[in-house]
Amino acid sequence: MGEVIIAELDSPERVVQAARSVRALGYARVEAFTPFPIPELEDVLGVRRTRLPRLAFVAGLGGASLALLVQWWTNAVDYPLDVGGRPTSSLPTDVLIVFESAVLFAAITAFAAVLVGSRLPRLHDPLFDLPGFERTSLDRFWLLIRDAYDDDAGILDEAQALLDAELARLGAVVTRARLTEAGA
Amino acid sequence: MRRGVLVPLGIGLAAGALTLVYALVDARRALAAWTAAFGFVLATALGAMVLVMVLHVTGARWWRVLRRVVVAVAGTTPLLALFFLPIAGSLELVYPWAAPPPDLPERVARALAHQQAWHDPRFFLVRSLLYLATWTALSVLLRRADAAMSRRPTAARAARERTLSAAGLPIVAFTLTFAAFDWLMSREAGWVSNVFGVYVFTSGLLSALAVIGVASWMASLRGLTDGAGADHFHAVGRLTLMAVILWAYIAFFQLLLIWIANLPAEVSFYWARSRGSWRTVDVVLVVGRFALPFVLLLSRSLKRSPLFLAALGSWLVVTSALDFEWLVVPAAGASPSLADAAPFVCVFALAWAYGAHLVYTRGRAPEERGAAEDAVRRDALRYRSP
Repeated sequence: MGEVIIAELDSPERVVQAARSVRALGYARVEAFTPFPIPELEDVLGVRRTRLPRLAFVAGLGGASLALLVQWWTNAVDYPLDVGGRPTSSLPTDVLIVFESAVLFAAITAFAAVLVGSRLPRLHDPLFDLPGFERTSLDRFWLLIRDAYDDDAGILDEAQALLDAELARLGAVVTRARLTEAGA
Repeated sequence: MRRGVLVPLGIGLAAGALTLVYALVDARRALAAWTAAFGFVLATALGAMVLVMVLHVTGARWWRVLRRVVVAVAGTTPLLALFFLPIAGSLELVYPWAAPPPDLPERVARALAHQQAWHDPRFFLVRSLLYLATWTALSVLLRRADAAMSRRPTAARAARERTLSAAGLPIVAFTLTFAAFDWLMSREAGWVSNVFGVYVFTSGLLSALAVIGVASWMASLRGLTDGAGADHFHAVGRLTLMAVILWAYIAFFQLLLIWIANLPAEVSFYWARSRGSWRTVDVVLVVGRFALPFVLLLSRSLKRSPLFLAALGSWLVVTSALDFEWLVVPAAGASPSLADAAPFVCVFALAWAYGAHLVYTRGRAPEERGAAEDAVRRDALRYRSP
């Protein structure tokens, strides 16, 4: 953990402009905290589209194959039962279970992947300790610049001054904060 | 008149002449194909009408920029009355109940005798008139409400569209179900499927969205879509994917229930459609109208491409026509025939010409005049697909 620079803004339009300026200055590890989703920000900050759908698709295919295999094996191989002369293994009836399993596997995989991917079963983040952070879920828009960090405090001062000058016209309040893992 | 109207009109009239020749060679067979083509355009127009109504009722705004096209597809409904005339004039050639063949199995003959009161020709024509009048009235009302809204959007006009749609949806649901029973299912003597009306609707919804995909692309090339972008086409693509799945779902469950019960009175439908060249049609429908479009439409980038939606839409229009050929023609033991394309092309091209005419007559000017105070259009332009 180390020091980060925070720019606080008061409107969605301004946070998009500010993010553009920050990116133009060459900072890459920039995060935004906003009360509601702002689609334009994703493009500016270079947020990639999630690869979750592909994972869910593969999991769905896996579930479907497994269901087909299990039904074929139980009905046609392990315990064949003659019901009114019907074929022991038949695709039309298998489709129901195949479909349900595909949905189940895809859904569980997607759910688990979201949890793991967003490191969710976690109760605290050092960010929460920063004064005023709770307002990012109400009416404030934060840009968090992580890669202004350096061991040399002088570089950080310089970066803060530069950002301050750059973002002042947008009414940004630029501050520095130290993130500590220790928490309370 | 514009080229966009004249060309399909010319194609439609030429195909109409070919259909006439077809009818002179084999009237019964040509009428079977005409009924299938009629069912195809009927389901497409009403599928679009239900779509318009649902979009009004749910208060969707994204489609405002494509509205002219979507409403025009639903607006082709009045033509149905015209297309129905050949069928009304020769019931005994189209429907087994109007002139039962002598060699019917006893089971089928009993079923027909049981249905005699319902299938009285005068009663049948009165019902047909009722369906056609209802739909024509609804489509004219929807189109007028839409024209008023595009001249000057007001809250009262939007509320009127919503009320009209909320009242119209159950009406269309019932009339479409009964019309599907009367006009299409009754060709299959003694065969009954409760889900048939829903099948026709879902097939028509898919066909309508395919037409909307093609027409939106063409309209956007001519600057008639009021600024539709990738996000709006994405929304159309998502709905098309939904319709593909819905149609396959209904078709599959009809098959599954009949297959698993395995009763002679019910399997006759699939028996007739699993022999000879119909087998090829079965495969083309399952692969071409479900598997292939399903997999392609899963892709986000493809759904966002207007050109792709137009190409896939054209293919889906063809397979939709094939679906109605498959649904209607085999009843009397007939095989699929290339000559059947003539009535399909005729009916579809004439409906397209009329729809294109509706798109053009909406004009460009009112959109621009009302644009400043049109909050709905502003919302539609700001629409971003997730």
